[in-house]
Amino acid sequence: MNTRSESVILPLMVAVFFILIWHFAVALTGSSIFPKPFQVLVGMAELAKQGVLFKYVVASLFRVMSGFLAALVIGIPLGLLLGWFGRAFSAFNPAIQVLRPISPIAWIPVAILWFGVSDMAPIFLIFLASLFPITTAAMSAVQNIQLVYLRAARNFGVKRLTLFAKVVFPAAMPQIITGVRIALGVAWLVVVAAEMIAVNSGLGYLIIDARNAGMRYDLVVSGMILIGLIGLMLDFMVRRLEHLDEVRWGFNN
Amino acid sequence: MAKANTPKIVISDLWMDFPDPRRSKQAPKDKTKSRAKSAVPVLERVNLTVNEGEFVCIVGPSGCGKSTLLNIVGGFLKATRGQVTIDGAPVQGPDLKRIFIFQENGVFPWLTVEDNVGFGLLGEEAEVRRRNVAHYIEMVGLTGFEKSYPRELSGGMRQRVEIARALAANPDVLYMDEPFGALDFLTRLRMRAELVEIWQREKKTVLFVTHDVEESVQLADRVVVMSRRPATIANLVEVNLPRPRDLDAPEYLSIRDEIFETMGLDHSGISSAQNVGQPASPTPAPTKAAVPMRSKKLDADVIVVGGGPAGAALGAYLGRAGIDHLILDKAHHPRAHVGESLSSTATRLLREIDFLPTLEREGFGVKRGISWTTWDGADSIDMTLAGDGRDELAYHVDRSKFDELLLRHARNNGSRILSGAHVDRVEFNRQGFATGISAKVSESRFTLNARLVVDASGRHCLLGRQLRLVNSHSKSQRFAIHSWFTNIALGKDSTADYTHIHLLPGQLGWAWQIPITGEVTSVGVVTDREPDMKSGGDVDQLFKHAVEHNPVLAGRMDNAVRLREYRIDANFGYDMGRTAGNGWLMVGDAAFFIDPIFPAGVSNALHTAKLAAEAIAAGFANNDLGEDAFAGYERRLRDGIGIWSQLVTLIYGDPSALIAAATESEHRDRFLRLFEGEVYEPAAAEAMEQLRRAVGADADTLAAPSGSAAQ
Repeated sequence: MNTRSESVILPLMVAVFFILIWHFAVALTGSSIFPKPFQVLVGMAELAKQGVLFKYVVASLFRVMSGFLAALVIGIPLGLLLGWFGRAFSAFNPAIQVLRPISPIAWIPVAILWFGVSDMAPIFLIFLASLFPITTAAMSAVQNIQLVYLRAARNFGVKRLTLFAKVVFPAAMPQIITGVRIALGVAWLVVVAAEMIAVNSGLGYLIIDARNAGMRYDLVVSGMILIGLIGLMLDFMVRRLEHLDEVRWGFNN
Repeated sequence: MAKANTPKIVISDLWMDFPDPRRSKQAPKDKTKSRAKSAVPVLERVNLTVNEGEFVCIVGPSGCGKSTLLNIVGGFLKATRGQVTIDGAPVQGPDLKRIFIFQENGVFPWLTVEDNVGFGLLGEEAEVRRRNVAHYIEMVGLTGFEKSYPRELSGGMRQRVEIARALAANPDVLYMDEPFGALDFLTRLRMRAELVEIWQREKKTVLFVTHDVEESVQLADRVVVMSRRPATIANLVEVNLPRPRDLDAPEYLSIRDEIFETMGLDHSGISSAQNVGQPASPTPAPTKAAVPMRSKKLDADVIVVGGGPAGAALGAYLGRAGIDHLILDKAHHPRAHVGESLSSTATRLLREIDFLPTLEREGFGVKRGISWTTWDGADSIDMTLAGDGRDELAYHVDRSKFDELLLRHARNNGSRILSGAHVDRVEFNRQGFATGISAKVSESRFTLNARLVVDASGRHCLLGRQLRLVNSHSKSQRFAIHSWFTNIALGKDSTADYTHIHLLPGQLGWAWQIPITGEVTSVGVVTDREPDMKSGGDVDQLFKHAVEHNPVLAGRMDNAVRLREYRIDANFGYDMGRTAGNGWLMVGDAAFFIDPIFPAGVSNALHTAKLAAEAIAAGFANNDLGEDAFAGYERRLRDGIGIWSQLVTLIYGDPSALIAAATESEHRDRFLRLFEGEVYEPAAAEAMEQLRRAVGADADTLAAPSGSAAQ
């Protein structure tokens, strides 16, 4: 039994299976609009040749990274502080809990009103979408730090900033990383929606534009597949963080 | 031991209440309410002085508040009333000079071992820090693990990291809150010894909380015994014994018992628990004579001495019945490789405990029958195990492998197992009840307490020898010479996987031929003649001489290649005056041993284990573990042994007559059932009687196994 080769071969078999079904389904129904798998490949090549493929991917990634990094920089310290200071938590948590369930999509009109049709609108939406998972993860991570670590730190006379840097932050790290992973997933979902409305570049724009300008469903599906693959890659990168020596204790693998 | 009697820690008139979780919600911050309504009292009027350099242990029933006391002294909790001073100054909070070692390991999992140990030295110069870290890592024996993370270490090693981290900060005082509680038994013993060594070198003042009385007596200069909640100090016991302490010394035991007594009085059994508010009765008065009151902490409900087939099977049965038990196994090392052909009734029992899948997976040989050949090779009789209403197979096994697998199976069924423990006696109380065992692991001696002790020590006969119950059957002198062979002809295909018994003429007795694996066959000769153990030539000659007398066997062994030295087993059959008593039972070879030659060891082990498990389950259900409760077990064992003896005697006495009788299918079935181990069934006596009549033997000569019965 070779589990490594199995973990490659089995998913490949499933993929081939689906592509075949896809192909024959389109062939049998004789759809002239929905593309066959091969046509999608051709479409992707066409996009690459035109130079828009790379441009759009970079545009989408740039927006996600900007909004997401802003959320990291603000969300982690905010969450740590809210988790640490009980009074701040009591004051702000209700507001956070009210804002949190509002879908970032619902913010699109507001974003356009504030930022117009520019890069800032989707970046703002991504920032909002990532901020809540990151902040709440950091907050509850601090609240759940084992008392024994804090007592040990106090016993060794560690105070304030050192305490935060040497104990609170590292102890909260695993849970924060889990929050970051969720946030990045949400951010990638949101960028596509935002680009469909607020800008004229990026993978979301590619999809909506291909449909509007001549029912190019081969390009629509190309865009979808690219989104899926890049999302997978982003998740894989964050997962690598879970294997760092400093946080591995917090994950059961 | 001389001590500078400088008071270090002074606890004066300390009281502690916890808010009642149910009340405090209704009446928050209502300080005018009386104490009884708004708070749960935890500590009452605690006064204690700990001197500089002293090692003081605090013991008490779990949940009594001893950890709370330590947390107050350590500065993590504020007392409701009273105060703690250290070096004359009241404690305001935790301090780098007094390091706390936590019950739930407080080592930081995100730091390496060396960063953890250096945590208290963050303010020091890099060079000082490096030197100190290296020094204390070496002291706790973790050199080489500096760069490891805690998750890569065992529980014991993590606890050592915490101790090193504490010592590196160079405190005057160490507070330890059950630091070894989560460790396994052996690691705990080792950690205690190391702690004493470190303490003697470093001369810190140590305040150590534990619920383990043995631990406290082993470690402390003084033991503080707390009462149950609301806790106060019930007794202060000086332990003026040199270290390292001999845990068998009478002084040690008397101090230990004194503490137990204080705690026992405090528990004071059912009476004080039921009549709350009334003064506790001064002596625990057992209401039921059968189950004595025990104030000692129990290490297990049942202790099983021995992890052979009997102990392991019993463990599996008990585990499946949900009865808490601990198996003490002597052997770390692999046991001797002996082949054994199990009986088909053993298969039935192994199925009951779900062990057959393991046997199948390991590919042990299957036995489908028994084949007998007469000494002249003229006649043979094959008895198949299948058919005739029997659906059984049996297995040929390599005992070392089988025993190991069965013990592992017991663990999977819930047995706790302690390996490498040499049990040297069973402990009894004044009423003659077994209370536990005394054992040795490595160099440490210890006692373990249980409500019931089961002797599964095999031919070692722990209890039989201790209580002088062994009756040796010295009359029957018989020897088995056997070895493993390859390249043996197995006879016709249909019986190739049978156990073959080849009868030999006269005093020579008989021989067995048992397939162990496809290639390996065990062949043994059973004889009345004593081989000269010293000269290998004689043994070989005797073996070959015997084999030549059965033409069938001789033919099969023409090209045989012997795989190892001959082994010689002498008959030393025995039984016991008793096999059960107050709080104890014997199972397997520890209870009786009829004949070393009949491969019945595993079969008897499994049967007695099953009967014992039933008796034990009933005993716990009725809360009666006295000898009367086990009378039924004893009787069934005695009857079974009797029938075994008769059968063995019948086989030795006149094997030809037995075979002749067994050609009739009715007798054959009877014989096979008995031979395959159904001797403990109530119907066995009747079957034995019938078989005896058929063979025509005189009942009197069959009363006991006797070597002189050979033709």
